Amino acid sequence: MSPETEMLLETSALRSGYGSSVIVHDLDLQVNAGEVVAVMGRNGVGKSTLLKTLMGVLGAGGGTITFGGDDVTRWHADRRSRAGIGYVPQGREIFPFLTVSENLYIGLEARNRSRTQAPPWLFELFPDLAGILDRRGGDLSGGQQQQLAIARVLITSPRLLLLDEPTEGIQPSIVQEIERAIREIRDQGELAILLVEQSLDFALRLADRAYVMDHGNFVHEGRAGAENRAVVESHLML
Amino acid sequence: MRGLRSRCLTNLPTWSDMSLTTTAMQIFNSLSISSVLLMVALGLSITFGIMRVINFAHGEFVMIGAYVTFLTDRLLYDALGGGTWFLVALLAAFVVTAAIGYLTERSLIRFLYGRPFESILATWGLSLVLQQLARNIFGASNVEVRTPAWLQGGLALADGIQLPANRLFIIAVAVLCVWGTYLFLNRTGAGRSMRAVMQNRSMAGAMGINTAAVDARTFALGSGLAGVAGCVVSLLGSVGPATGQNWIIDSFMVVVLGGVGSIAGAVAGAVLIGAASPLFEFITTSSMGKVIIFALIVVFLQFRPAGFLVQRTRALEGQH
Repeated sequence: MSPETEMLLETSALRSGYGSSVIVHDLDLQVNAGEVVAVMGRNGVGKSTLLKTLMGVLGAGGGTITFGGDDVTRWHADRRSRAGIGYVPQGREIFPFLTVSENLYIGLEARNRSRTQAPPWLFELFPDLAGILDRRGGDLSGGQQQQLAIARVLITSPRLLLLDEPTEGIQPSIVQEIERAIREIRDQGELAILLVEQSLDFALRLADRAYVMDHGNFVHEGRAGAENRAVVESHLML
Repeated sequence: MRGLRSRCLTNLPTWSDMSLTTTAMQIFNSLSISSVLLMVALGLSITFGIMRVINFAHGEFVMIGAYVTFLTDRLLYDALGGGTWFLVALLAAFVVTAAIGYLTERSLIRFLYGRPFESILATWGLSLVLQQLARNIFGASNVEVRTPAWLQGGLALADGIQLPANRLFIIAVAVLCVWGTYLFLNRTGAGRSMRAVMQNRSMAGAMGINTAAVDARTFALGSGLAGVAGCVVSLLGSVGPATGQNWIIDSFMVVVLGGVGSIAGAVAGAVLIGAASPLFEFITTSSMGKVIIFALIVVFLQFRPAGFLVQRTRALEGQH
């Protein structure tokens, strides 16, 4: 990391869970502006819980979350969203009875911005969406929903994108489309991405840095890239 | 209607007893009752749909709307000639009840989200408090709202069939309310945010929608619609502390029958309940009619637990 990189997101001794069961504990995480960071780990180690806590849809049980210099630990999700955190949840969570275009522009409406403030490259990134704007979100295929879920967040120009398992349950041709889109977003360099992913190769191809998570905490942190696959894999095997 | 109720208590009438005129009038009257039920149920349905709070004080917002109309009558009847005071009352009923609804949400309801039993007790308590408040302010006995001249008389269709102007007006107001609510929910940013919160609260928050503000706005809208219902109800009879109680149970049945959060379902449910209640009360007795309606709803819910119009989509399969 070059010295001029700016810290965007930082957690310190973060703790989170449901009721009395603690799922994430004492977790320290840093994401720099424009950086792509992967979080890997087996099922049930707390990856999705971590992203939910960072977004604020799940309250933190302890520790602090700093975003863009502000302590956002006690902020509600909507305030964090307007501050520039975007969230693509596992299972997409498209609004089923809103049309594709209503889903797409809802974030701009929440910010009282006009639809014309949508980034012009959005439909170049996701050309499939342009033809289905009037369909109901709930009627789309999983791949279309995933593209819509990413697009409706990007339209608000976030500074950090939380991506939870973007390839889960999606056919390979669409996975390629999504990887291409994420790569393009990454290469624009304005957006940091925190990517939770089961597919090791997919994550290592896209990420700058990778964390491996187990039992609610990180057990490894290092550079990503295909050359580091063996190292990361050895931690996942444990 | 005169004499029908008393006659049916002694011997059951046959269909031939009801002349064409009576039948037509009966259908028309039940449509106006359906219209009131619809306005009450619409507010109930969207507040329950969005916040999952069963508001037992909703009927008291009908009562507040009716008393606002009464006050407007007393204050503006002479000042505004030609009965325009009633249009002012319609607007005032909406604004005042919406404002009271907003304050209620901020000071009480928002602490009850996710706590169904507490919310039933608390809103029931609120209902009692509001009724007692009305008794203290306006007295225990009912008050009359004068019907403006332009709502007296009626529209003569044929010999012997005259549609009363006040009931025509009620139907028109209900149509406007449904249309307005539909446009608001579908054509405005605030309405779309409301639907998003209704469909997935946590994701709506993650998209930047201020869900707390949406809750307060929704509750205000639902209360305001009840207030409008209260205003037009004052055209059908006197206004009292129990005015809301007369409508709330039937409105709950409309919501259950129609399906929560569905405008079309509320319309279907209101038309059905509005038509079925007088019919069953006519062929049996008043209380027996209610029993039959309840029994039919229980049977209906065995087959369609979520009401008439269940919205279906791939995304929801496997959920619930």
